[in-house]
Amino acid sequence: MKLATIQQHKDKLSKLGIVFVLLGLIVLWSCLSDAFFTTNNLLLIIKQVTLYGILVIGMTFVLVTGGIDLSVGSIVALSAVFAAHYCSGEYLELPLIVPISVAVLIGTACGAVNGLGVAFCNIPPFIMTMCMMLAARGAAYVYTNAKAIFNLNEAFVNISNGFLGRTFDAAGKVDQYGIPYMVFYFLAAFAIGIVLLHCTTYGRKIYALGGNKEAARYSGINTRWIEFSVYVISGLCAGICGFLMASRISSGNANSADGYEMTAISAAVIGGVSLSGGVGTMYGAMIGVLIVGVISNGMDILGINTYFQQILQAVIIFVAVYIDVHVNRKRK
Amino acid sequence: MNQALLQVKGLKKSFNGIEVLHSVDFSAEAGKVTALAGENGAGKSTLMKILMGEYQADGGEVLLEGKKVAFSSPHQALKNGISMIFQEMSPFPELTVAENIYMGREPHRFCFLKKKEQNKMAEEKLAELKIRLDIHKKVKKLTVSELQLLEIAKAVSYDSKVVIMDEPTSSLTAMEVSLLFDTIRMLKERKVAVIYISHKLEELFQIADRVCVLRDGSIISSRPAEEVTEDVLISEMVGRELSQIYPKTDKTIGDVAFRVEHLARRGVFSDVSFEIRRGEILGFAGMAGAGRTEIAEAVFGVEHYQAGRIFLHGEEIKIRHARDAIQNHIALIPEDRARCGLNLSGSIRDNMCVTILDRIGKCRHLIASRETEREQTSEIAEKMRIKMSGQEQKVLYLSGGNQQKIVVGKWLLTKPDVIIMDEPTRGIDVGAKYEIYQLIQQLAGEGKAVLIISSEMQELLGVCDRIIVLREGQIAAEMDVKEASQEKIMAAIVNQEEERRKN
Repeated sequence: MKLATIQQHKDKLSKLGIVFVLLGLIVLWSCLSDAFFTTNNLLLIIKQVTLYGILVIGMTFVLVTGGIDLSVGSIVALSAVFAAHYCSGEYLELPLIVPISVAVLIGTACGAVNGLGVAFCNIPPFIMTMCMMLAARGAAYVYTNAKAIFNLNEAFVNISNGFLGRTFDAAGKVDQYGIPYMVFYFLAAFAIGIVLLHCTTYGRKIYALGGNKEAARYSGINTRWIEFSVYVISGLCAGICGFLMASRISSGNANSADGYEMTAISAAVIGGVSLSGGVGTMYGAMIGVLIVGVISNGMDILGINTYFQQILQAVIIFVAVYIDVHVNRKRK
Repeated sequence: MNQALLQVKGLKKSFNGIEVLHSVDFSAEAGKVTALAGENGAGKSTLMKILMGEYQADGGEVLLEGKKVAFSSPHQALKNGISMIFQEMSPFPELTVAENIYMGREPHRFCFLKKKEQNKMAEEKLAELKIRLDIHKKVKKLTVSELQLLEIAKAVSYDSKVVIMDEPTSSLTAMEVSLLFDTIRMLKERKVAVIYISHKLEELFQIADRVCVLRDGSIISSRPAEEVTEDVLISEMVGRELSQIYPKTDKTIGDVAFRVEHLARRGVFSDVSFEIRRGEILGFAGMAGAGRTEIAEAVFGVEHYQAGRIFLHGEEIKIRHARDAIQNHIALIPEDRARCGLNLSGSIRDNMCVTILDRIGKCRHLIASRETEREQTSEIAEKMRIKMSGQEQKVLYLSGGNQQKIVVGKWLLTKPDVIIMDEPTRGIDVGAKYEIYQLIQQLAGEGKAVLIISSEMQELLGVCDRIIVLREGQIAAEMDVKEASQEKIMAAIVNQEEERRKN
């Protein structure tokens, strides 16, 4: 029993560890700048991370099975240009459901192709999704002729840029800031992700598969189907992210979401999701996303230049994973 | 007094604040075989890993030829004349047999490899040990028993002063074991100190000069082999008396529960027909590679087969996937725990409940039910007497015996009628073995049909009601256990080989 309690405390602490990193960063930035710890800025951080936050959800499913999905950034761009196309120009007046469903369908279809390649044709995930990364990005450029699509339907643009409870005074100035819609998307998406991964039999099977594929197969789990499905989920998330992206930047641009797959992977890894599969939680991934958001927001506020930010980000990711690896090793 | 070649004094080691070795004193003399016996988790492997420099001791000292040594890596230990056959084998799968043997010390001129010389050396070494292995074969294509032979050849080829063998025979057939014993005798003549660890007690009596018993991290006894009897050894190892090695229960054998007709898979097995009755324990004997495991896996749906029919309670069933087998209440406890039995990074509960997720879930089995999972796990853990700190404990940190109990437990949760166990006692200690035997009897007593695959003939003779001998994918002999003997089984296994040699 004594051993059990020690172990439990250790587990809890190591899960909390990542939360402490987040709190530590918040305290650090708050000390360095008055502009950081305000309600509006905190909401802004969530708004900023929502786009790749949604990608991280799909990525976490893939990573827990022991795979990787490099194609999400490109799929976002592809579904974004399609969404933009179907709510601009001659399609300006179409109901919003059309661009949204087009984006989601394209994302899901790309994910399904990834899944087919990995699960049924035994192509290594790295290679399969790298092919998709190239193909989807290329398709986005071909579709738009490398020109951005502007003048989107205003209601569509409002999806990502709107606020709940925003009021204006008589002079037309913002009276109450309100809560960005994106915050709700972020919370809803993670709620769904958490339930799916941690409360369903499907989620249990994902962990079983990621921990030991052979043992999962011997235990009667349809490993091919499960492996296929996580790439579909990742693609679906990329599709959702696609129309949100088009809405947020009010345009369809084939070079948008460049490098988002790497941000998504690093956020998940910071949150304790292992690249070798079977280990990690959606809670951790969510904290990982927030850490990435807090870091870049804080650096923006302090006026650190973008290129230098990249270097700092690399250092922080390295340190986070280093700590994680060594805590794990000690527990062995 | 004769100075021992290797001496261990007051060695201590703790993991996570829990002491697993309490001041161990141990020695091995040149030209002698010192056997180390003990249950799983007694600390044998930990002790050996300290000698090899894989772990560092927390206290005490190791003397090699009277000089104090402390190795910080296996590489250093090898350089100083200690080599080891590891229980968990770790070869380089993409390299050839010869390359594996000389890994890290390839013959070379400047930085160029002398491949021909290496192959020649490997060939000579294998010939000297009378091991038949193709040195050009890639290691990933070897069977488990060939791998073990490779590990033996590799350990011996270092020309070390001390050779440690941790469970070297767990996947070897009787003939290969006698080959190994010849090798050990040869090492003795060369004044090598051999430390031999095995769960197979009869082997210890055959080969050891001295037997030390390790229990719960302390040396309990150390005596010349002639003075030790099996009963004494067992009771010292487990710390209690075991009435019999093979428990028996009263049971009645009912009608046919499971029947296989003319099962065949090209190049692996052909025309295999057998039946198991309710309450019956059937044994599969044969050499490694005789198709025993493959037949079990085909019946269970994890490997394919081209022809044949399978009947359960008289009705034909189709099995194409492990799911089908589970639905038909067939269970397979696989041979290789780490590869197909367990998710090592998962918790005990995750591992236990993986087979019944679709049965115990709520809302059309979509939502996982933590409470049911907990109940089921604790029920089985209690029944199987699994030693654990809690259901959340990672399986990785458990001993081999407890891991095996979890594999068995997760299959009992599926409420099987037909249970196939492939080497159910490989690499587990006497105490855990006894519990597994008890369980097998209990299951048969409940009217389940049990199929046991084992390389240990003693075990088959002690546990089964009927034995089928397989040879090169075909049934070579079938006998009631009352008429069976080790000699008869052996005869059936070897027969064909001799015939072939004559031709």
